[in-house]
Amino acid sequence: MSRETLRSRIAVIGVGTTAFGALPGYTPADLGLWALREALADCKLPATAVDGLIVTRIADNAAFAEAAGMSPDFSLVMPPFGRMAGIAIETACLAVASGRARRIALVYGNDGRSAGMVYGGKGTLPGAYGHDPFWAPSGMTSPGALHALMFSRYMAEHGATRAHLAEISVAFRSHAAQNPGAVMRKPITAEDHAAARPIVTPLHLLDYCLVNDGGVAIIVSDANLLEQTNPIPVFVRGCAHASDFRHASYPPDDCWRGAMGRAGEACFREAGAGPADMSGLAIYDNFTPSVLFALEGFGYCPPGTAWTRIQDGRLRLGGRWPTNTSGGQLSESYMQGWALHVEAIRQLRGQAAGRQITGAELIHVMTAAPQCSSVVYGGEP
Amino acid sequence: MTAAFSDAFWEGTALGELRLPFCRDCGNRWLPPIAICPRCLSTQIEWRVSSGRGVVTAACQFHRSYFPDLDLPLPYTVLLVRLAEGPLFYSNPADLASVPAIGAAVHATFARTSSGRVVARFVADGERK
Repeated sequence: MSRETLRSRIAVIGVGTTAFGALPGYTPADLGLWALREALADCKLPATAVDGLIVTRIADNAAFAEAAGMSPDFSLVMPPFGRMAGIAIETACLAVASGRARRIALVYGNDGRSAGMVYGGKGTLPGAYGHDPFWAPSGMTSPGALHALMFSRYMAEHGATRAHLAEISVAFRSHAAQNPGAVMRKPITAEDHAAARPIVTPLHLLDYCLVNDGGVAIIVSDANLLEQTNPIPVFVRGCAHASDFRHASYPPDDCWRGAMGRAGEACFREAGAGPADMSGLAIYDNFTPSVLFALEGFGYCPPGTAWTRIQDGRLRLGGRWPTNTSGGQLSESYMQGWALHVEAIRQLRGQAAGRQITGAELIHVMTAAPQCSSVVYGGEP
Repeated sequence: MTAAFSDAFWEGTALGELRLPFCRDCGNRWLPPIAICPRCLSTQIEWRVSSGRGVVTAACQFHRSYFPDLDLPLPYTVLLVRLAEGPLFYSNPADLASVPAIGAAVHATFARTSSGRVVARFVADGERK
């Protein structure tokens, strides 16, 4: 069968977020319920008007649906990994486009801060990249170390240094300073980045995303049902994902450019738009080098050049491609990609207050990982 | 504790051998150890001794401990070595805090850790350890 276009057949009608930070006493499901309540209020629908449910980092969809007072016929659980947000949204779009559901709630909850989550060592989730018990005697563990290894190779190949990562941390923090909901709002400088304590070098503390509590919910709908709901829909113009699993436990030689290239091409074709058309970007910033890899993999900079091109301020509000305008996962909140999607939607609705991209029309949300995902949202179909 | 496929790897290091799974059907060698060939899904697998030679493709240095029970004093370096036989191997330099250049030619040496396990570590060609 040929690839059927989803272009603007599905719209986001509701988004909801909890507070972000330390929220002791709430389970991931509680945080998901809190976010779902906000998303339902956003589109002025009761939970019973939603006939699909996808939960992530929430263990049990049945218990969650029971607590939410809903009984969705289409329902599944996706793994608790950061690379899943874009893929979950694509899955929801496929289900709606094929008539399996009319409206789907995607719900995410994360109690990582209060639970003392550590992304490395013995407790690391099976399937988290950068960790395998076989390698533990070498001390190798953690996604952070995997990205440190990737960046060590990138530096050797292209001439970048650790100092070139500072612009990413500093730019996103300057955006977070304009976001009252962000966890880390105090502006930082390149000197702060240089002086931050080393974790796994070449990466230091300010190259790592936050670990915090919070929840996110996004409600998508058949675009033919919009008159019944929110007056400010945002359309999924294109979505795609692609994988490079053959060496998933190692840093890939191409920084996942092959997989990103395939996902980007399919997504841009569906959206009828490309990098030149984007008003802003949202890049999965688990670690600062991921931003460089995504800019190169999705065609915003030629391979091996992003570290130098970003120094002109193009990622900042007012620059060519304002990126992670909420502060991203480095400064707003680590919601494993979900909050980046919410920020894209708020920007396109014109609801980003002091950090609004003037005249935002198209925003591209992208992830560099063993499973690369790409979603383009637009304010118009 | 039940026998794991990777036990043969650690039996090898105890003898000063760096062993790799080898597929008798397609000739593939791979890591991490999996009991089925990832290229042809054959179960006709044996362990073969590797040359222990390779090239450093990436290096990072840990300044925080994720494994408090390992005797790896901070900071310690983790290397990714492309073995001459093809597979990638996460390891350390024999001099744990040193950081070899990316692209450096290296060879395996063996060290006994406090747990009694013998691990393979790497030194630059031309150096002895």
